Amino acid sequence: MRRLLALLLPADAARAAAPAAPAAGAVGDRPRAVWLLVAVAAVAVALASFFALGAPAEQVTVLAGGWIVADATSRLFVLVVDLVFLGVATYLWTRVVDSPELRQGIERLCGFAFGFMAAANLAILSNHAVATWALVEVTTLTAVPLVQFRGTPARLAASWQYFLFSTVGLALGLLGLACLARGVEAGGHEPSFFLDGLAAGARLPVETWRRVGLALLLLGYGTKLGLAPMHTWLPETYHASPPAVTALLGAVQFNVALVAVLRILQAYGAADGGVVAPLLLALGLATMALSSFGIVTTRNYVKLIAFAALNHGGVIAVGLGIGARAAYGVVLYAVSNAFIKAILFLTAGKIEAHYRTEDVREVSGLVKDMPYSGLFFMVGTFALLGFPPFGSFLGELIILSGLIGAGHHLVFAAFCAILTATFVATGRSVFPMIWGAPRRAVSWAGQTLASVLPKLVFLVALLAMGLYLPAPVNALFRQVAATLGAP
Amino acid sequence: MTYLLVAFLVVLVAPLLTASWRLSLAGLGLQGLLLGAILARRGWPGSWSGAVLLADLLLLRAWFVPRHLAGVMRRLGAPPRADVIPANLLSWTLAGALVLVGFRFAALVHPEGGVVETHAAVAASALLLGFLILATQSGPFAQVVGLLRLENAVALFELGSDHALPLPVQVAVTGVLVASVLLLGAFLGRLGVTAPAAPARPRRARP
Repeated sequence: MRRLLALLLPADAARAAAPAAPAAGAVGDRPRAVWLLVAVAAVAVALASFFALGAPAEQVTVLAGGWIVADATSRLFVLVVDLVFLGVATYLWTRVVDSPELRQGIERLCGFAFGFMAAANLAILSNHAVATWALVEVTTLTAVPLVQFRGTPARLAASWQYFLFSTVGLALGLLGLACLARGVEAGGHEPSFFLDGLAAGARLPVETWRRVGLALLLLGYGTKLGLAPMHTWLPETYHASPPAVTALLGAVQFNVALVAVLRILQAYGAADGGVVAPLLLALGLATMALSSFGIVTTRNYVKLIAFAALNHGGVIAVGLGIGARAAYGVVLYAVSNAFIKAILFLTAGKIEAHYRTEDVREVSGLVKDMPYSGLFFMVGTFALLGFPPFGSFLGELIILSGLIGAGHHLVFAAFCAILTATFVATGRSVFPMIWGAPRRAVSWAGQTLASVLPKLVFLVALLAMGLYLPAPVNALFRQVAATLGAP
Repeated sequence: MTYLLVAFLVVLVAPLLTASWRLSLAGLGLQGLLLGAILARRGWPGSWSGAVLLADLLLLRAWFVPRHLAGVMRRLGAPPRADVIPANLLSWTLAGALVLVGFRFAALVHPEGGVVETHAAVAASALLLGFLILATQSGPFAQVVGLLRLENAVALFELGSDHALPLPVQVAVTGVLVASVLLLGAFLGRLGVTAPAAPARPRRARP
């Protein structure tokens, strides 16, 4: 495996082949745990690709005695989170060589990352709503030590805030599921939390417990998505965590929570649109407004990306609130959002390591000083702001047209106003970082192919989602949208 | 059944009026004991899933949670006084008002009244009082107590249904609670009883 990677990654080949005195538990100049992380992530991506594209998009298979479901939703999102995992693993593989801080405790970090990813994959594949809930909680429990990595006081406080909000949110989610069960019992039926059981429950007459349950579920999982009013943990946690962990939280755990919401909407969205649509629209708009305010006020580029991630959560909530008309756009936007966050947070880690600051005013002339990172930061920002030709642009366009089509004109106006404010505030902070004159002598050290490749893959995926998606992949997107009611 | 629910309500409210961490933890333990009694009153569990749920309530919530957290507090050398809501008339009035809101909500969703209504009322009151603690306190101890009160409120609400979870799911739910309690204890040990939870700005580059 090492030889294969060394061949694929020419800039590191010489170093990998050079005679060295490896430390105990190390292969070459990298700890064994990082090699294992990359190898497992690569195998996971290979398996996820086969799983996602090896069967017709509309095929639904229930496996492992009914506990695992292989449908378009699980296939698409397992592939997305495992691709991000591979990107994060590669980032750690490249950074561990020149970061003594990262090297200390890397085994522990890799161990919890394995646990986190196993729980994330199983949560997406789960066919039982309470099992999904428990697995989302396991991702939280395994993420806490990741956020705390090397335990600075700031990280300890941020991990506490993260754990507290997550646990409160998930307790609300569990209460929501219990309320749904109470509603089914009130209709004289035996409740079931298997996905087909949820769908059967949704066919019963709507009553109070069901409405309360759906509201609690959206608020509960909304906490994991960073939706207002339970959003305050997100900017601090994303800011304080190591970049690799931030990418895992923003691009993996976000999508795991999103899949949990999609499962609820797939069952109840059509019958209970009167409950979920206004709630999602309100939560989404409030989140977008708060994130926009955060972007205006912050001078920290990691926090700025974190606030922009909040904004994306709000856009997705608004899209889900529109329903069938915007379903395809929401799926496009959600997948784009995962890759954008991965590109931006991993690049921000590089920039921070180079400049030793997170202040936007201290970073200038990125494209000259760090050409690759500057380029990725620029392209990632364009995708973040919804520029063409990226998938986020197309997704946002479909959501906007869905707002008009569904007659939500006031929401459309507010949505556009907030997006404009976000665009101006982000550009004001980020564009000088990218194109400004360098404030000190350019001292760019060459970047290896390995450090660039994952972000390049994410970038190609973003472009493909905006320009041309291969038919089997597009079929998956369309099928996920169809389960949300899209024609 | 109703007397158990009334006892649960007393155990919810009484520790709020005292400022002792020992009483707060004893209150959590008693809540677990009463939850176990409410489950046992329906008859001893006839399935493995029910047995795990009973162990969850009696061994974990009634015994392990207060014992584990009390051990952490003793190691910290915590002073006897530890408020879980501000000790003033306004907070106590607010707590009373939230209990009334819980009962009003239950009357709306169960107009037929009876034990079902009382059950929903006590669960809703427990949930709202848990949120009151979380909303008014920034100290880790009070937040841990608030969080565990929320968990107990959810468990009480679930006991209103005869539906049992499949065994693997029940084991997973209980396992998650065990891990959460251990993590809460670890946080309490590192942050202290009243340390501020607001994160400071990191000064070093992030690996």
